[in-house]
Amino acid sequence: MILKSFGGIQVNPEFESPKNQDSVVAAISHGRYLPIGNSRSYGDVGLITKGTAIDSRYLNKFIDFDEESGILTCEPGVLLREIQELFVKRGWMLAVTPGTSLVTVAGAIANDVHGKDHHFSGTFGEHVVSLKLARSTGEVLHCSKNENSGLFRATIGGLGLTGFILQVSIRLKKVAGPYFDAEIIPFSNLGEFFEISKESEINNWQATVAWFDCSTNKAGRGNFTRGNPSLQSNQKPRKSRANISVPFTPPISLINKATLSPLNASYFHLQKALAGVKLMHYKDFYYPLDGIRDWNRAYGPKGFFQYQSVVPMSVSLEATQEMLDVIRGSGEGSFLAVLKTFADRESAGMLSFPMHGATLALDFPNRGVSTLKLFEKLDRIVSDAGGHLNPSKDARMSREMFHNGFENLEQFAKYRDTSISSDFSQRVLD
Amino acid sequence: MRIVIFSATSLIAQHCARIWAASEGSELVLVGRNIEELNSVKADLQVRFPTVSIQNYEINMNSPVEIQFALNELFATPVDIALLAQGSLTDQALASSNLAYLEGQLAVNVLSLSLCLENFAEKFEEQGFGSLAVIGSVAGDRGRAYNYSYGASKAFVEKYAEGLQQRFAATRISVTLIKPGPTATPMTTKHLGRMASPERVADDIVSAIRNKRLKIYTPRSWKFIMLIVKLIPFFIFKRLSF
Repeated sequence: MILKSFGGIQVNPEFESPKNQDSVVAAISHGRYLPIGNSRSYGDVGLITKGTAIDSRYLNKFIDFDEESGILTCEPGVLLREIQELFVKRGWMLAVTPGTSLVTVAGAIANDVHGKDHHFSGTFGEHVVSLKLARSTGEVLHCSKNENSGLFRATIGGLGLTGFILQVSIRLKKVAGPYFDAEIIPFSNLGEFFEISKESEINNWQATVAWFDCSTNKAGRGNFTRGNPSLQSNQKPRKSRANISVPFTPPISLINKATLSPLNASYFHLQKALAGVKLMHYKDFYYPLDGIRDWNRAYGPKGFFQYQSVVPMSVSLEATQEMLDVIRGSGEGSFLAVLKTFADRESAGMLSFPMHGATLALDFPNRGVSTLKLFEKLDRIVSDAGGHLNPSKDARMSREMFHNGFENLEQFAKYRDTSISSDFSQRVLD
Repeated sequence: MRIVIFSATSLIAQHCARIWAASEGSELVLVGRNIEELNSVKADLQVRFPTVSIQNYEINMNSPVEIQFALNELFATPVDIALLAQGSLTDQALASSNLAYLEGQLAVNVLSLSLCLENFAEKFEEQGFGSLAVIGSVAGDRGRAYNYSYGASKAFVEKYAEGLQQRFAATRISVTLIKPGPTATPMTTKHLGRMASPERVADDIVSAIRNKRLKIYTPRSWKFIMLIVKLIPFFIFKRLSF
């Protein structure tokens, strides 16, 4: 069956969709496999060319919810969207969410995802209380900070390579309602971005992120968004939006040299017009792109790459500025350029992506060699700065880049399940 | 409202249960052959709807004795709605080469459904009111080389339902036949083509039962597709491959 990454890479593995935990244990016992979720990873961490993709999406039942502690226990294939929609009405939400709610809870753990609130709440993995993990040896292990703790830390951010997650318990956080008090602040260069970031953290804004325009000579103009869960218990549903989708894959990327500048400029002015303080529904605040179904199709049949790096705080301004200069000089451009600072906190997983510093995420249409050449130049800046790339977005980094960037790899190797491999692990690990 | 769901672990049935459980004062009885699976469906519903009342009931849905015993117990309290969701997507190639497999498929798709339909008909008749719904398929509209064993089973269900509809024409008992098109469930992950979501199908099922409809296609577009398919003369149809 065709399995496709979010960035558009296709493979054709064997495919199984187990319906219950027993059939998972049977399915993973014969030969090479990879657990997969909702295929929202951009690159090849969720792809397997030779072997069986074992789909967790039909393992999507809730098991228990404790109204006192906020601990939710569920199967691996539950989508974050379902958790948010169901629990926000009862005054609970996920403590950490990425920029899309269309990922499975096990996928969120395997990639130890982060969101706008990293400096406040850390990564998704920090809120995992325990896991039930099936290994290809037939064992089913309970993992938590106190039990099989090494395997627990390896599985969080472990890219699915340590076993099949059968069940998870996560801690939700208490909220008054579904709304955020949000503020949008335009900035005109990177220096201003870092100042607003710092000031926002000092003043306890729980969520911060910035979008900026890297397609023109206006050196890093953009809009900074910050928010806090609103104390209003207003449960009014959000205004319904038009149901927009990209209905088919156009023959060429709609995001190209001709459209990039006007797209970026109009997005800048659109957001700028909204500048100021306002009440925003969590769906608009966290997941603006979830409103456009299949938006990745806009990049055409060749798809696109996301390049997400993090560089240490001490050199973040210089390194980020250098990357922007290289991108501008290359003639390749990015529509979605997102910048955020990460706080100094210990990561929950051995291979977790965040580190104290600034992370930059850029989407580039796949234009073949010239795009890959640009990435090599960016790699050099990131490596020299002492940073690394996000594996869950990656489809092309070198083995060396990965090994230099993640110091716990040796320790991680001890916990791998030898039956599991992904195209990513084949490329940079095995 | 008291609702009995046979084969409650099927994905479509689970989504129907979620819709029913959301309305105030619903009481659900989940019936199936495996108590562990039923318990996990019940736990899921209970997390979503903490106050809904749910009872699980494990039976062999191919056993006349067990069905009769269960229905006698279940109808001790009035039943408003019964949904029969059992069904297995028969692999035609396997059915052609392995008669034991075919027998197992027919046991679910034909035997179990007719035993349950008949017994529910009797119980609803005694009670004097109620809604009985059964899941057929667009595959029941024409015999095709690709899936005639499954298609014939579903045609059987359709004729059975029609008979019951005539039998209960002048009563307060409604019989609804649901004909889903291909739906994205664990049964169909290996099949290609556009699939309806089980949520959408469940929405249509619940509203068809509420409106006491005789027969619905879901999604609705299948009504028109199958109208055209049924209009193709057989001497042409038999040469087609789809």
